[in-house]
Amino acid sequence: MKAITTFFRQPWLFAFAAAIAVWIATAAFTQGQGAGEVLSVAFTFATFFVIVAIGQMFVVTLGPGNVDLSIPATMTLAGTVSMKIMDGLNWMILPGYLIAVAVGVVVGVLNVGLIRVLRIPPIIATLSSSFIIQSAAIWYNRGLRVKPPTMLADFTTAKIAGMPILALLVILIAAVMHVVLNRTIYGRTVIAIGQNARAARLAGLEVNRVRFLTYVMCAVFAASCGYVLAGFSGGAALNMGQEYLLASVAVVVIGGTSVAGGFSNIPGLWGAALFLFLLVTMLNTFGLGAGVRLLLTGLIIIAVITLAGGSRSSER
Amino acid sequence: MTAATSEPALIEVRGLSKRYPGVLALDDVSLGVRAGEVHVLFGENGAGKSTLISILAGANQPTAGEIRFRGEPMRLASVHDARARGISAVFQEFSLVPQMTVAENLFLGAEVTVGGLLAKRRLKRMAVEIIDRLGFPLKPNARVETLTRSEQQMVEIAKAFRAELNVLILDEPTASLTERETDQLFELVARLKAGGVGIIYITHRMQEIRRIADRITVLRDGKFVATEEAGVAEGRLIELMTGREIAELFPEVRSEIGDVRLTIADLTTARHSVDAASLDVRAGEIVGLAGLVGSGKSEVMRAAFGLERIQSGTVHLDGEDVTGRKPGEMMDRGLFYVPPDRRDEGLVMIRPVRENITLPALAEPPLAKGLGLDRRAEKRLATTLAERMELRPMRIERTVDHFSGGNQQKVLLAKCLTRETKVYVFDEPTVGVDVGTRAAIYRFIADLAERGAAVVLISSDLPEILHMSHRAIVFYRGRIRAEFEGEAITEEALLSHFFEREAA
Repeated sequence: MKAITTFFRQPWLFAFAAAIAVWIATAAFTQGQGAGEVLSVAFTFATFFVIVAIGQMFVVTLGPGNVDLSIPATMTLAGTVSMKIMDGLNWMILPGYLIAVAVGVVVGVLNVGLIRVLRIPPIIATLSSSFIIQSAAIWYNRGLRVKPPTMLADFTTAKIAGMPILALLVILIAAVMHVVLNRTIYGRTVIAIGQNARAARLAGLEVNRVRFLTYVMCAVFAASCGYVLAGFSGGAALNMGQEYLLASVAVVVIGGTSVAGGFSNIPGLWGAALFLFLLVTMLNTFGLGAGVRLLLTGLIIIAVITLAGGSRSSER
Repeated sequence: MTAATSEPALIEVRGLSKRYPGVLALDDVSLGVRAGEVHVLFGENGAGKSTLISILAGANQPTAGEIRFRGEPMRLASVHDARARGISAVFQEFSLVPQMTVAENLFLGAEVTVGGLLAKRRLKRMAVEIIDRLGFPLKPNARVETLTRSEQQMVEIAKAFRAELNVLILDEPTASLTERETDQLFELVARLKAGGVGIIYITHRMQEIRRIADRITVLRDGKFVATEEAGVAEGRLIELMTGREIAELFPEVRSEIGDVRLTIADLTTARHSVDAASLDVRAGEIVGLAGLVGSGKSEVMRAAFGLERIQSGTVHLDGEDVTGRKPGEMMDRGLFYVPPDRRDEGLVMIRPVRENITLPALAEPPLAKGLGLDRRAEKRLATTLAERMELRPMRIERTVDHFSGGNQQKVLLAKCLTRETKVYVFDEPTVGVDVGTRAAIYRFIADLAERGAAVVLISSDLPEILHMSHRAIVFYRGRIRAEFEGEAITEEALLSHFFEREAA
């Protein structure tokens, strides 16, 4: 009995419930036709959302004011640089990925540098660094679209029984990050900093080091996403990260993470990412005009956040 | 019951109850406050005092019961609503905007405008009038974040005076005030009484009850226990409050004093909050640090623990030079500092007790396993310590903000038992805790000393220093002013070094 009530108190439940509700509504509209394919496509795209959202979630957990707005630019730069360096060669896949990771590390260090050394608030620091990063991508790429290695393209689009292999891999990564959040000193430190950085410091925790690691980790996730997304969509484009700025924050919040820091959960990211994609699909299926679609998307997101937030405050 | 109703009450509550999910915070409480009296609310933390005053201040709605103001039933929908009727509260947690000036804060939400624009000059003039009437040393243009805590409290009190005042509620107002500021506050209270204001006053300090109370209402577990007239015996009050007898507040410390553990030599901090201070602490010894707020008594230990930059001087722990080390490193070497403000620095309020207790020990075995956490070991450690501190209720998975102030303090103290520690520093360890918990905390500190630990006790509560310390050191403006040992530690001796000397 107690297990059931704790289950229903999980903040991520709402995101999944909303995703399932939207999926059922879509399936009902089409009388069940293509419901399986819709889900398969949803997993494909939700995967990319989740990759960036994991990093964003850790950053947001660091407490009020912490957010990484440089995610889209980082994705673009990592995607363009790695695609160009791999130049479509299959044997370059791993070195190419390491390059993408290196781009992420550089971006993360840049962000923390601006925040720590120049004492710029994270929201401004990451926004301004994203201009630098985006410009670097434009300069490096000069509008060329280099095709990804065929094996990478195959891997990112491969499916087992309708389930994208990449999605399975990211579910595994999410599980690992769940453990990192809840069962490691690092994770506990992130949560403590998010709620009371001074108490964390007095307890002898490495506050600055953990902040640094978190921003770098977030950038590496963004870079990884840029890498696989470029592989998936036949090359890197300069606007490939565009929708990931809002999506990363929305997925984190809908998933039940507190913007005030100190509360976060990984499973919710998956629920929220699926919900976001399925919501757009549903509105498309209903054949609504673009204006109405966007309006409804906004309203429904607000509704879910309110519901999820309400359940959490009554629990406390 | 004994709530005398011969005189008409200014404000009265009847059958007031407040239910939170799972708790009955107030249970059928009735009492009346007359015009021109100081009515003290007395009770342990969690007895329902805070709930009661938050309802009277309009910040909280009762589940049942009624409030009567001058005999008329009334409903207080909000703090603003209450203020409009002249009922104002000064809570322990201030509602000030740090970036705004004193004058702006005074009229926040009650700004005067001319043609849609703020009448700045008029607001300032009105602010000056209030401040002068109260005799507070405040500058209307000073930004609140630059003020000391006691000055901020003055602003909070002054806010009550922007309209006609009928009822003033003060929640432990002297907790952060110096002796002199306390005197000023009491003078003000006397003037308000003479003007017919009813004052509801929450305090844990017997001394204050003796000084200003006209009647005392005791609450326990959310229930009304009794209303007593001034002059009631203290023992009786404590009995009413706890429902049992407390033998002695301060324990006898029977420790053997050993070798020097901590030596601070000629220490000056970067911002000169401490100036050339030297002191040492021995094993088994309790050294009390006294002085006004900002005198350096707290800053010197914060600097030693690595929380303030050191300009010159050294800190040695067991002979090892540890000057300028970070808090984490100091804890590794056996110095533990317990901060005064549990909300601000001590605890992560919305996380469970378990996580809070183990926070300082995370990176150490047995909790740390590589990069991971041994959750079973963590749970075991937290349970053991919570039991040792007699946490009530004994629920370590509950978030800290759900506990009473005294129990939060127990969680804070439990943290210092997670590490092997040679020197404990307690900074105001009993601020805002009830008598029962205080006795437990004193016993706890005495135990540590008796087991051979060196203890530094920083306190603004003089009796604490008098009864607990082997040696007492008085700070004044960053410097060590005087040092007393054993029998020589008297209230008079200490106090004579607290303030500016009239004639040297």
